[in-house]
Amino acid sequence: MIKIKLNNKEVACRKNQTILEVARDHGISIPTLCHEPGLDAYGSCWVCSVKVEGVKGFVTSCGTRVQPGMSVITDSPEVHKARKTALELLLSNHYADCDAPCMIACPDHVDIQTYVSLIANGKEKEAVEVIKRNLPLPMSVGRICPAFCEKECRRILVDEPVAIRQLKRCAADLELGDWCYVPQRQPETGKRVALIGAGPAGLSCGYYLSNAGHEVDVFETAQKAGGWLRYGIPEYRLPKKVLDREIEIMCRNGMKIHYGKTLGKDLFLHKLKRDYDAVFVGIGAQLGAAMTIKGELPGALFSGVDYLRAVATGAAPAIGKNVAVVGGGDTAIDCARTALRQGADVTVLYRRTRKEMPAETYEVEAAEAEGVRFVFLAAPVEMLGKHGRMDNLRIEKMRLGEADSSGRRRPEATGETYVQAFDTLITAVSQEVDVTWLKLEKGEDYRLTSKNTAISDEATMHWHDNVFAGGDFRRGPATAIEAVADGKRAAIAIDRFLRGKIMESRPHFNSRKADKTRDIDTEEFSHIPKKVRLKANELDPGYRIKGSEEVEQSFGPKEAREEAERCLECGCMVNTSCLLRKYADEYGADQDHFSGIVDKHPIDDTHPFILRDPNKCIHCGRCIRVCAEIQGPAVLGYIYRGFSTLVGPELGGRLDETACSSCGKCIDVCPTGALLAKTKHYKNNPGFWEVKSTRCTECGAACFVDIYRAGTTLLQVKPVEDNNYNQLNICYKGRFSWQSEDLKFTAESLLKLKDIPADTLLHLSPKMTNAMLNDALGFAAKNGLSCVTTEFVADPSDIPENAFRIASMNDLDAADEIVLIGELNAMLLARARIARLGGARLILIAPPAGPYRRLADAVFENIADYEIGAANKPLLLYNRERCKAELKQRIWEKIKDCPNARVWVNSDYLNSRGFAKYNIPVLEELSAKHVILYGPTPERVNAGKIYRLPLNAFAVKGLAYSDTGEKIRF
Amino acid sequence: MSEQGIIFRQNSRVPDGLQTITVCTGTGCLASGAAEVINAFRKALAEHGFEVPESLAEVQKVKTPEQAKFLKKSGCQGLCAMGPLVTVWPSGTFYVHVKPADARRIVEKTILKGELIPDLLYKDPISKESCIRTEEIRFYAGQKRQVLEASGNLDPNSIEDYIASGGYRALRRVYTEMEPASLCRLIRDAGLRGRGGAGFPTGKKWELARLQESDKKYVICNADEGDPGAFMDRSIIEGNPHAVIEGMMIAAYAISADEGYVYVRAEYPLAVRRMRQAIADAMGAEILGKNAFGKGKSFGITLVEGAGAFVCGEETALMASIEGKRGMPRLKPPYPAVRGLFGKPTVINNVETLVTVPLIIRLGPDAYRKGGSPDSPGTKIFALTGHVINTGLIEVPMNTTLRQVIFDIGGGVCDEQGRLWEDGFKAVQIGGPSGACLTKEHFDLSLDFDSLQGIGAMVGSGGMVVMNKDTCMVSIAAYFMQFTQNESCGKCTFCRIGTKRMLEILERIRKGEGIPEDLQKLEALAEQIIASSLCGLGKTAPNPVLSTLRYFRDEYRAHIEEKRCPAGACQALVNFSIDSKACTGCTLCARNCPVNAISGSPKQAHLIDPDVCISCGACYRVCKFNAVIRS
Repeated sequence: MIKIKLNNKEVACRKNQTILEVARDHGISIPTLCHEPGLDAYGSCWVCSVKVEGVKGFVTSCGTRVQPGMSVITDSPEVHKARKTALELLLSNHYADCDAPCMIACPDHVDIQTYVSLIANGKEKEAVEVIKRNLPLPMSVGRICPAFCEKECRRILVDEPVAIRQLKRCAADLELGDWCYVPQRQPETGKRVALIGAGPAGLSCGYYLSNAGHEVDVFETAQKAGGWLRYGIPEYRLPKKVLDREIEIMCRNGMKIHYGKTLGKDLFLHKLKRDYDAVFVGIGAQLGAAMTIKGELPGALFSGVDYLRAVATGAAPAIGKNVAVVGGGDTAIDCARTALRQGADVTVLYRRTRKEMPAETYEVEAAEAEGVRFVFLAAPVEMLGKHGRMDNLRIEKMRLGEADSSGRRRPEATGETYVQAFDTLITAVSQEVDVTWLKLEKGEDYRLTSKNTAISDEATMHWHDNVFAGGDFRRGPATAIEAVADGKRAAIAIDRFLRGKIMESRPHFNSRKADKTRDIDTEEFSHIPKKVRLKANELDPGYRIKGSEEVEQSFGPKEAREEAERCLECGCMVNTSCLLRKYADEYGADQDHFSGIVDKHPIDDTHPFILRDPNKCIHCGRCIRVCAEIQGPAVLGYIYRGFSTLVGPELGGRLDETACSSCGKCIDVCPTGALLAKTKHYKNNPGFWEVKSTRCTECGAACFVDIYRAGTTLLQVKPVEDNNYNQLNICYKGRFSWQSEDLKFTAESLLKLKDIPADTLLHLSPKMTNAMLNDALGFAAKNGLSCVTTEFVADPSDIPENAFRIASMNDLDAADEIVLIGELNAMLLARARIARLGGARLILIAPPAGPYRRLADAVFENIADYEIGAANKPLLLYNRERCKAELKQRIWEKIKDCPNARVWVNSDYLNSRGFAKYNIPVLEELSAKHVILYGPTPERVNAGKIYRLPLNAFAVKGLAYSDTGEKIRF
Repeated sequence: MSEQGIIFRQNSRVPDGLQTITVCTGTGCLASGAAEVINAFRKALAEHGFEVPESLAEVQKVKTPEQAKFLKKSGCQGLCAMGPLVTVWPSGTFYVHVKPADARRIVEKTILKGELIPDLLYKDPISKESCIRTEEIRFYAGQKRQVLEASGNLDPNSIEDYIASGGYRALRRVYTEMEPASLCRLIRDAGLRGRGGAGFPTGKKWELARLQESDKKYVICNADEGDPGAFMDRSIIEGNPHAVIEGMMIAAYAISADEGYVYVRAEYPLAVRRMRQAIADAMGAEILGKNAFGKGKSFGITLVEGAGAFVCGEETALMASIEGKRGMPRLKPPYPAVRGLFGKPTVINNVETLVTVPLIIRLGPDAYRKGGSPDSPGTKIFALTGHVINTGLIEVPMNTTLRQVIFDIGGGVCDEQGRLWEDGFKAVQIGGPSGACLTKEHFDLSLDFDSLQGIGAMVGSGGMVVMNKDTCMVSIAAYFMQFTQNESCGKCTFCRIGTKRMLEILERIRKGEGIPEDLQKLEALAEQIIASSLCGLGKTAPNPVLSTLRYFRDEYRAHIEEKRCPAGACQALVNFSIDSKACTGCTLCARNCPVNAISGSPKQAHLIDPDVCISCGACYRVCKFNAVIRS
């Protein structure tokens, strides 16, 4: 024991410990990217910098051993800055997207990549669940959203964006049937929240608050909920029965809506904020902006907002036959198409040109198809008519001037006018907030902009005391998805506020390839085959203008999957576990602090199981060292020099042309997403993963593994972190071979077999659990079948007097000499090599050819040449199925006189020890009239009829005995 | 050894009356035609019927010295800019710029008649007076050539020559009279510090390795000299390879090592060849081998050729390279003395350090300490290059000042054409890519380890580049940054990416795209790189930038704020035009323009087309009438 000063506090530690280890022992976390436990300190990342008194500069905490009296500072502004600088330098050359650009572009950050991948895999219900984490109105928004996401979709660089909005709508429409997704409501909090306005902002806010266990009262001035979705969006775009269903589902966790309650009349903010724990104001911007026009004729002039609301409430006003709509936004188009459906002849007048129109292109095209005319560079200046009726409109011709702050060219009056016959004018130029109610509120300073919108916090919507405000009331007229985003953010903040937490949570660090998709070179995507974007069907224009039936139809399930498969999955597969991202978050690193050249490389997709993306590599060297120093193949190395240094196969070759044995350990040690597991699934997204820890059933070693699933789909297998048994080692079979298995069959299938001929042989495998063996034996007895096996071999370790020799993992860790005999499981090879790094001698006897040989201290082709010499605690390992009986005999003879010697008998079969007890006859060759194969298939089968019941390695449950004699449950 | 004032001497075993012609065969002289000169001498001497022995062994067979002339090849004599160099003994007449055609003249006039050939004599650039012997030349007079002395005298291919001049005697003394512990103490007492750059005490390093218990230890000679412009280790190996062997064997004795490696870069083919020859000769003479020196000790040397990566000069990277791995440094400790080559205790010394060791044994520590300064005893070899009259390899006591080096030995600052420029001094870059730029204010600074370190510079491997006022300091900083960035092994974050980002900022400034915040950003990043890099390469890479920022900040600011390069060197910031009054129409500029941007008839004033001009400055440099205007 020695004493050092750790952050000015004296602590005791062991000699030879590194600063990193001592700090961890004392609960101080130091970030590190390149440190690989068990291997020599490397010192490439310099993220673990600490300050040691008296030493110039910084030292690596992973590579510096403690000295008596050493004084270490693990955290100070100086240390923080050094680590942040290291991270920022790494990030400056990290050409990668953490989150997909579509998700970033979405004002509500809906996890698009995840739900699209779920749709691609036919998991639409799970997709709805993912969508509803951020967006509780996917049926409505999926119909009317301008889809900011699609504008940033990287697929644009190949052909056209993925039809994200349509995919969302398609999945969400499942809720139109019997099924719907309602999240589990959190326990009651006893807190009450009042929401003013049942538009998309208020409803979203109320939905998440009610899910969180709060009592939610929504007050709505109208007779129905939905706000603009109901009173602004026409029926042919969003059928109100869809909206009704959606709102009904949203209310299932207790949100109550009170209708006919008007602010400033029935409700007063100063009262609500006193009666409730929090208030959210989401009153929207429901006033149509006035337009000044000469010769105003009230009977012929409508505000678009009022017009649409009137139509929606079933009180459509009488309009003329020849309608002019003024404006270029979605509302103008909605008015035009609605008027068209009232039987009018409709012309849209817009001050600028088609290019500058804010309305969605597809809306404009749909309107044109229905017969709406468009006149550009035109502004109405005077209504002409007699007796309060308009018969003509004077229109001024406009021209485009310089670009304004929005980047659009400004319209300028030319002074030239003309007259055209119109009898109705609908103005849809903008909307405003009605704040007359505020005059009745006293004593509080509710801050508003000059446009009467609320000045509330962008991240939390916090406005005043316990009052929050969002939606159009904060933003001015905007989109539904923006209102939903405000409502959701307000709900998160209110929930934190009600639970006494700090309201604001810092946004996650997000690495990105470029600010805008258009800044990316299309060359990068040139290898992706073009695949046309699917378009949803629309009702025929001639038919649809006759009523208010929904124009756009949904994708069918097959179309949806096909379209979803176009997704390029830009977001990183490890964006929830990436250490670089985690530390960048912790240290507030700015990816743009050190801007400069970025070293870009093609992605190496050649290996069947491993995807190598050098653009994400941070050169920590962990994969290189693990592969060379523990696993053996030494597949990877550094190539080139300076900034261009690259980690990859030698001479810049392909991963599939190396000696890689597909152990996959490089994937586990990679701190970023530079090395990823490839699976047979087309889409494989981390946003909806469930992880379950179990034991691998591929052989008797029974490694601890984590199974990654999305619903019932198996996605990945990884070693369980921090397990002392196999540590981060599993073999190719455990990690990847499940992909080659047909997982349809399960243990119950056997019991379902009917009408078995009596002369059938039931072939059993030592891979089965004891429970399955019992079932099988019972089944055989009941049906009069004989049970046999083929590959199982008797072994000296089955003799009870040898039982004490059977090794456990402790014996491996304690051994001073490890003798590997013949072919063995990769996990055991890795563990043996790690033990050698810890000081044990490593001896190979008759090993298979391969790079592992160079890692040993001695290699003997014949066991006769090996003697247990000075070894105190030798450990011998062999595989019972892969060693000849004679060799096994010699192994056991060799250790007879060495009381401390232990033997690890590996088996290809999970339950060889359990199986040995059943005394099932072992046949050389399987030959019978009928055979049922249960479990792994023997090589030679000679039978008239064969039933195959393959074992589902990751679906079995039960009790078995591992190589070490340990009982394992999985 | 060296008597005051005597630079080179004739070998004592050459009989009286046998005249000697010594031709320098250092790389510089060979490049300027020394081999042809030797051939010409052979021919000229043969024509006069002289017997021409070319080695000591052949000299011993000469019966009548008067009928023979000893044609001797030496290692580098240092005045590389003046090569090929020829000295006629016993008069010691020293000729420079000798061409093959001069051989006959030298034989007929100087050898046969004892006459001087004035046009082959060295002329002092300031006094314009001719010098006959090296002692009269200020380049030599200002030096103290003790390590290099033998190199300029001996035939590097001759072990006899080395032994005849007292070689391997220090080794014999060590093997017969000393204990490893006392040997380490002696080296420590002599105050020898590693000449590779950092100046770590050699005796301390040896002692640490000596104390390690191990079945195997190694001695490595680091000859991976990679600094641009430095060639002292190369010259020593080429000129005196046996001294390297002797130094290594003494080090091996001190730590009980039985195996040694010489790591030479493959770009030094002559050094590789001569070292190989020397190892073979020493094996043949049973100096190296199983029974080294007949004392029952075994010592063998393997020569390893490095592939030319600068970082392999770093000791742990060098060892990785010998082990067959990629040359990448590792964390220290453990130091090589504890865990070195193949995991065994290893002493790794630079060539110059090892060659100094036999000298110390011969002189004794006290005598050795008399040269240099108390904390940096002895001499240091520098490669003097750049805008200075006399360029070449020099050896000076470590307390010599910059002023002495530049003006006495170097003969003063010159312009691009090599003409003396009285007031032309701007800076001197010392220590290569790890070093710093010093200015006038450092003229009287002593060139020892500690003084240089005190001002943020370092001896480094001893490159010394003198720069005149036409040199842009931002470009110099960018040049060295580009070098270290290219040579970074790519392992650690700060060196791999940090130096790249610094370089990008420097390049931006050179293009006139710099912003005022760039200077603080450069400094902040530089400090971080120094504080958080794995090895010396990264830790020192920002030095050239920091020192130029410190002493030439105004020049950086001119680039950024005024978009102007005061030295007129940054292509993007400079324009060239021709003064029609001064132009004589000599056409030299037009002929030198690489992009044909200059037009004009002979004897008429010329014109530069600014749209075609790439601002390379070739016209400016070649114009003899100062008619090209730089703005």
